[in-house]
Formats: sequence, structure tokens, C-alpha cells
Amino acid sequence: MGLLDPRPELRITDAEFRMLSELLRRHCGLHFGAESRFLLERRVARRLRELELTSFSAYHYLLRKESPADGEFARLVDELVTNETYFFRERGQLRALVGEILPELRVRRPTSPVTIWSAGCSSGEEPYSVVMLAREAGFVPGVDFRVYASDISHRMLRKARQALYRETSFRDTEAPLRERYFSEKEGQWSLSDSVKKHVDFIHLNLVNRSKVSLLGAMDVVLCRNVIIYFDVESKRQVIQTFFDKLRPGGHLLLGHSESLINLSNAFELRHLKTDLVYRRPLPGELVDDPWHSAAAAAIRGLDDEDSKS
Amino acid sequence: MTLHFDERDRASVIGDLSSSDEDVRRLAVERAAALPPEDAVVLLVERLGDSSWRVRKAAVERLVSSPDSRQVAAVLIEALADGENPGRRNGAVEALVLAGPRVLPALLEASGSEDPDVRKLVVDALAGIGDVAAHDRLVELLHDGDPNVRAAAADGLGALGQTRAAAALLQRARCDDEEPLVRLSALRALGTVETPLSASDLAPVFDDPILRAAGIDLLGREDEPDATTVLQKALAASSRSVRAAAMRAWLRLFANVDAPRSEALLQEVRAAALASPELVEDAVEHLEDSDLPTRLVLVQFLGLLRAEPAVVPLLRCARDEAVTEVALATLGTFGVNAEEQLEAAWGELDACARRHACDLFGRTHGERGALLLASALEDPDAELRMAAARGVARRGALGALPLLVRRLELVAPDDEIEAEEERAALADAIAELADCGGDARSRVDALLRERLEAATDSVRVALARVLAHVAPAEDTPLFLGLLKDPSAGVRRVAVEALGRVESAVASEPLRLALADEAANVRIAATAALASGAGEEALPDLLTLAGDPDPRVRARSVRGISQLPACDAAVEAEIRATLERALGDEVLVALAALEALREIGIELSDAVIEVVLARPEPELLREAVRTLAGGDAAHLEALLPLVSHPDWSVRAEAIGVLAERRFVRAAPAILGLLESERDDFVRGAILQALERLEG
Repeated sequence: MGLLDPRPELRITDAEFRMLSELLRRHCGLHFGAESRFLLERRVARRLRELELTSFSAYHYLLRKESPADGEFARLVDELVTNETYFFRERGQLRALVGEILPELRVRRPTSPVTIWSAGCSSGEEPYSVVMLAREAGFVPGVDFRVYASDISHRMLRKARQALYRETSFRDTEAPLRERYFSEKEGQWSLSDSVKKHVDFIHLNLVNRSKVSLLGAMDVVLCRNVIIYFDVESKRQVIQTFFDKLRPGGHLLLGHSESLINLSNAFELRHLKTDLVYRRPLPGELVDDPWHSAAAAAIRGLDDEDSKS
Repeated sequence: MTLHFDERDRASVIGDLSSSDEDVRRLAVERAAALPPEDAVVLLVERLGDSSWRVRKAAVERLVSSPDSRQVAAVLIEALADGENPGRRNGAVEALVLAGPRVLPALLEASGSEDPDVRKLVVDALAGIGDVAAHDRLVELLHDGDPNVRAAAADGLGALGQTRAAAALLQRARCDDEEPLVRLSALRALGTVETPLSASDLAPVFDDPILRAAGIDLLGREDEPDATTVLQKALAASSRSVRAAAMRAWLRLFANVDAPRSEALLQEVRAAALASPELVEDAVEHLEDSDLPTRLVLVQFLGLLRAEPAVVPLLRCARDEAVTEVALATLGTFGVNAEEQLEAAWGELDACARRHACDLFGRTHGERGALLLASALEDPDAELRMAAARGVARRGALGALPLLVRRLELVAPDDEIEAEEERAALADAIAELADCGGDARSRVDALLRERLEAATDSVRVALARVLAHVAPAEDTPLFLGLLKDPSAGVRRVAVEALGRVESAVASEPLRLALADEAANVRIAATAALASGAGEEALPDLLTLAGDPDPRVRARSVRGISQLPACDAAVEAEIRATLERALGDEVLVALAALEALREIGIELSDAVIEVVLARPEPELLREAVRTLAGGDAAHLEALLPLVSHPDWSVRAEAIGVLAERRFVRAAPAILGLLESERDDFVRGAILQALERLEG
């Protein structure tokens, strides 16, 4: 509520909070715990005002009944999700991708390009970073590798396709790279077509598996700092989707604060020179890591303790 | 009310209480009302030692709700002696605390137990209850033979917060022969009883390394020379906790003195800080990693010192929302010195710190701050630009008005969230500037009218919003002009403004706006027409009740409910319209229910039947709320909803039936406990049963 909009703030009830958070969880896996109640209330209230609705119940009905074409879910997700990212984020992991995983996969399958999927690509910094680094390492886009990128947010996909970035996207970018691939345009930085054209963007809700089938088999999935917003069930479902999409021997790269503990035993943990990544085992390889299940049990114990306190 | 259970119910509860399944035991605890009260209490106390915390929690809740407080107190106190099962003992203390003052007599009696562990737990329970009737006994227990009991008694007196306990607590704290644990508890308790204490009162504890910080922490409630000497020395102490306690005490002291004395004390404290330069260095170093209460103290103390090296660290620590306002208010007291420091460090500040700096420059009013704000308005980072706009507005810097308007015109002309947010922030800032007095309004008004024609659609909406705020209400030509704008957003603003004009000139344009092609304009016109209008607005509102857009129909239904009381024939028409709307789309039916509730129209049985037969849970919940305020005879209709497939409808119906004390619902609600798996609804059931039993 600003000076020019004196309408009183609407307060969400316990039941309305639960109804809306459950609807969001079912729709796209987003998890809103009690600590996020205020955020949800504020952001949804803004949509209520814009739609001239007078209650959270009315908005819930609108969402529940909407057809995908109405776009209100997409709009709400845009309001709710933080999309802040930057080029070459978690650089060590990207270096491992380009310096170890990519060469290895090229050797294993020299006739077709390595396929890389940036799942939850936000405004495009991650997939474009992959293209830039791979080019720098001598790989030829389209021949040695192909990059696909998806996000649930229409707004983020528009931004990603636009590829116009502000200073904050370059907090970890070396000057020579920026000079080589970007040109300044009215206070922003425009990405060169030579990189842009090598990323294919699609709109995809990771929790809804139907459209995932549009993507072919993948060699690498990057899904970094995305599943942190999901509830456990949705995390498991999404990880299973990645497993199904990955070719045997394909790699899954999660954010540094994320792991598969308590989510999946289907992957093996692989130690690279600069990072730890997950790999879908090749046929005949067994995933039998006692530490994995022991750690999972310990985490479950911690969860129980947390819920008590 | 008495709930009836048969022998089979009782046997089932007793059997389930020892089930190996945690959920079954918890459900049995919640069904303990089926047992004779004296048996139930004993079995529930046993469950206090259950291995599952959920079962223990349920047992505590059931015990507390038992009407026989004497028996409950007796068995709970007996459980305190169970040294074998600490979980059970802790559960018993928790239950005693929740039971409150009604178990006080039993606790006071048990405080003379021979078992020191029992005495200690009894004192904990008395402290938890916090009833002042326990005061005298707790003072006596300060001299108990067991040090744990004495320490607990001191903590308990602290919890009671009675100033009359101060002398006894001080005596314990000063006693050299007393255990340090007890002395420390006594000092902490003195901190909550709010009695002014002098340095000489506390002198015996200042030399003790364990007690010193707690003793220093009690100073500053009154201004006395000895205390300031002690506090100056304490600022140079090697122990960080002593220094932090001294800072807290200084801040307390400043809050208790008048302005001239405060000035004199400032000289003293700054002199002490100059003598120990590591004081500021250490405070700055720990601004980020200290716990929140200490951080707040460090921030304010550094503010007292006006320590310039602290400016940038203070701004950085404003990143934590819990500290933001204190840090910025503190930096505000640095005035232009803060601006100087931040100007020098601007290149090193991250985006968040720069935003906070813009907020600060709204409070500091120096020239450097103004220049930095002007430059931030042009920054590529939209969030920084918005922060700068807010800073400019807070300053009341009318000279920056053209900059703000230009910035507004430069915002991307799209409906992206960021662009909308920036336009809203800039419009708010311009409106705030217009409110800063003098000729501000007329200057804003003149500039905005000048820019209106050439502006893009989205900018015109923002300019129109500000104009509607600043232009005189009687300036109908302006609003009538805006009503002809090609942008629906501008027309909507004009309609809202005309709705506030008390003139016949506005009524025809408003009526025409009811037929605007944009639903949002029609909604605004409906709202404008309904507010402050008489029954003559009814025909128009009824026309809108047939609008193709359900949001417009919903708004017209709400508008009808806002009309003032009118004659019987009109009322009948209103009622018929609202009842018809109950069969409309959900958005309209929801509005109709809200309207019916507001007017206080009772629903007929036939209408209730129709509404409650609808499948939409949102609507059913609203209907339940509407019936909650109506005739008790209609509550019967809610009974089937307690087992509705949708959890939210069940919870709402159960809540309303309990709120209205509809006791006939009790067996049905109790019966649900066995099958209900939804925790939210279970919570509603338990609350309802408590209400209905009570």
C-alpha cells in the first residue's frame, strides 16, 4: 500500500494460507512454509488489488479454475520467485563441466553433440555462461555441444531471450570475457548473437512432466539453486525426472548448498578435480554407497528434532 | 454438557494408549474424555513420559483442560519425583505451568517437599505461572538448603518482576559465601525487577570475573557519579561481555537523563573511547558476527561515539532487516559526516548498501547526500533508482521534482513487474513531495499537467494518479478531461477521482463510465457510484449486476450492500438481487454472501439449501461464515459439512458450530477424531471440543 493506494492491506487467514500454498505446491512444487507467510500474503494481495478482487478465497477460486492460457498462475509465480543470478556463478562447477565432463563425454560419443539442459535458467546467465566457457575451451557450439534452457517464468524467459544485462549480472565476470561477448547499450550490456543463438529456450514447469518429454535425452542437467524452493515430494519428483532424462553416464549438477541426501539413491557421487557432481550410473554399475544412506538417516533424525522444537 | 461413551469406547481408549503406534496413542490421548475423569488423569500423566513428543504434547493439553484441578495438580506433582523419566518430569512441569494459578496452592504446599529435585521443579513451575502470590514463598526459598533451589527461586523472582524482591535478591547477589550460580541468578533477576541500583550496592560483584558483566549490566538506571566511573573503566575491560554490558548501561543511562546532562555524559563517554581506541575497532569488527541484541547495542553505542570509521560498517550491517531501522536512525545522527564518509566509499559499496545509503540521505539533508541521490536516480539498477526516489521524497527536495518526473518518463513502457514497481515508487515519491508544504502542490500540479499530453500510456496513468492526489477535488474539468483519455488506466483514475467529488457535474460522467469498454473502469465507476449514493443509484447498480464480466457483477453486488437503509419495496428488491447472485459464478456469489453478511439479511431455508448444495469449497466456507452470524436455527444446516470432503470446509464448519456453542454438534465432532487425518482440521476439532465441553 503506497501513498497513492490507500486501500487497506488484506490479511490472509490460516486456512487461506494453506489453500494457496498447497495450490502452488501442486502446480509448480513451490514450497511456502510458515516463515514465508508474510511474503505470500503481500505478493498475492498485490494481485488481488490489480484484479479488483476482495478476498483471498476469490483469488484461490480464480487460480483453481483458470485455464493455462489465462496466465494468472504464471503471473503469480513471477511475483513469488526470486530470480537473482549472475554470469559464471559457482565458477568451479562450470569449470568442471567444461574442463572434465564435456571432454569425457565427447570422447565417449564423438558423433553427436553433448546435450546440456539448464533447468530453471532464470534470465539466462547460466546457459549463456556455459556456451561462453565451452567456446573459450575450444568446443564448437552445435557440433560439440548443444544447450537447452527452461524456466517456469514467462518474464524470465523473455529476459533470457532478450539477453540484455545490468551490472549486477557481472559480479563474477572477468573483463576480457565481458569485452569479447558483450556490447554496451544504453547503460546495459547486450550479449553477442554468437552466444545467444546457441541456446534454445522453452517454457517448462519442472513439476509437470508432460512437457519435459519435448526435450530429448540429456548428457548434463544443471539445476542449481532451483529445488531449494520446492517441498520434499516435488524435489524427489523433479530429481526422478532428471534421472529419466539423463543418458546413462550423464551428469547432474546441483547448487553447492544442495544435495540428493534423502531425495534419491539413484545417482552416484563423483569427485572431479574442482567439484563434486552426481552421475547417472552406467548399466551394470551399482549404486551402493553406505555413507549416502547413513547420511540420509542422520538428516531424517535432524528433521524430526527440528519438528519437535 | 456431558458427552456419553459406552464401555467399548473406554476399553478402546485404554488399549490404544499402550499401542506401539505413536499416532494411535496420540489419538487415544485426545479421546481420553471417554474415561472416568479420575482414571483419565492418571493415564494421561503416564503418557507425559511417552517416547513421542507428539503424544506428550497431547497429554499435556488434555491434562490442562481437565476440570478437576486438585486431582490434576496432585498427580502432576507426584510425577515430578520420577527421577527415572526426565521427559515425564518435564512434561509435568509444562502441564503445571499451563494449568496456571488454579494449581498454585498445591505447588506452594509441595515447595516444602523433602526432595530437593521436586522443590526445584516446583519453583520452576511457580516461575512459569508467574503469579505474584508465589512471591513470599520464593523469597523464603532464596535461603533453601539446596543451591539449585535457591538459584531457581532467584530466577522465579525475576520472572515475577516485583520490585519488592530487590532487597532479598541483592542480599543474595552480594553474599560472598553464596554459590556463584545463585549470585548470578540473583543478578539476572535484579535486571528484570527494574529497581535502580547504585555502584556501591553492586561493588562486591565488580571484582568477580564471573559476576562482573551481570553487575555492570544493572547500572545506568539512575545517574550517579560512581556508576559513570565504573562504566568508563568497564569500557576498557579486556572481557568483551563486560564491555558489551557497559555499553548497554551507557545507553540506558542516556535514556534516563535530560539534554544538558546527556551532552556532559557524551563528553565523558567519548573521552573514554578515545582513551581505548580498540573499543571502536572491536565493536566495528563484531558488528556482523554478534548476536542480534548485542549488535543492536553496538550499533547504538557507535552512534553515541559518532565514530566516523564506523559509518560504512554500520551501513553494511543495515543489510539485516532486524537492524536496518536502528542502524539507519543511528547513522542519521551522524548528519553530513555520514554523507562524507559514504561519498568516499561509494565505489566499494554493494547494491544493498547503496540502497540503504539512499534511505539515509533522506534523513541527513547535506549537499553530498543530495548529489549522490541525484546520481543514484540515473543508476542502471532499478532498485537503487527507487531507493533514491524515496530518499528524495523523504528529504522534501522539491528541486528534484523535474528529475523524478523525467525518470518516470524513462521507465520502460511495458507492464513488466519491475517497470510497474518503479513507476509506482516514483509516483509515490512525487506525491510525497507535493505534500511537503508551501507551494509544493501547485508546482507539482503545474509540471504534471504540462507533461501529461506527451506521455506514454503507462506514464500518463502514473501522472494521473499523482494529479488525482494533488489537484483540488473541485477541479472537475481536469478529471473530466482524463475521463476521455484513450488509456483505460487513466480513465479509471479519473473515475476514482470523480467519485470523491460532491457535485452533480460528476454524476452523469460516472453513469456513462458504467458503460466503458474496460471492465476495470466499470468496476471503479460502480464503486464510485455506490459510495455515498442514495437509493437512486440502485437501478444503475442493478443494471451492472447483469454485466458480462463477473468481477463487475461482483462489485455491483457489493455496491448494493453499501446503499443506505431504504423503504421496504427497495429492500425486497435488494434481497431478491442478492439471493439471485448466490446462484451466479463463484466470484459474484462470494460477493453476495459478503453483502448479505454486511447488511444482516437472514437467508431463507430454501436459499441456504441451494447455497450449501454448491460444490465450490470457497463458496461453502463463505456461506458457513455468513450463517455463523445469523439465526441459531440455521446452524443445523451446517452439521453435514463437518464431514465435507474438503478440509477447509470441515474446519470452518466445526469452528463455527463450536463458536456458537451448538452442543448438538459435539458427538459428530468427537466422532471425527478417530478418522480425521488432517492436522489442521484435528486442531479445529480439539479446540471445538474444548469449547463445547466448557
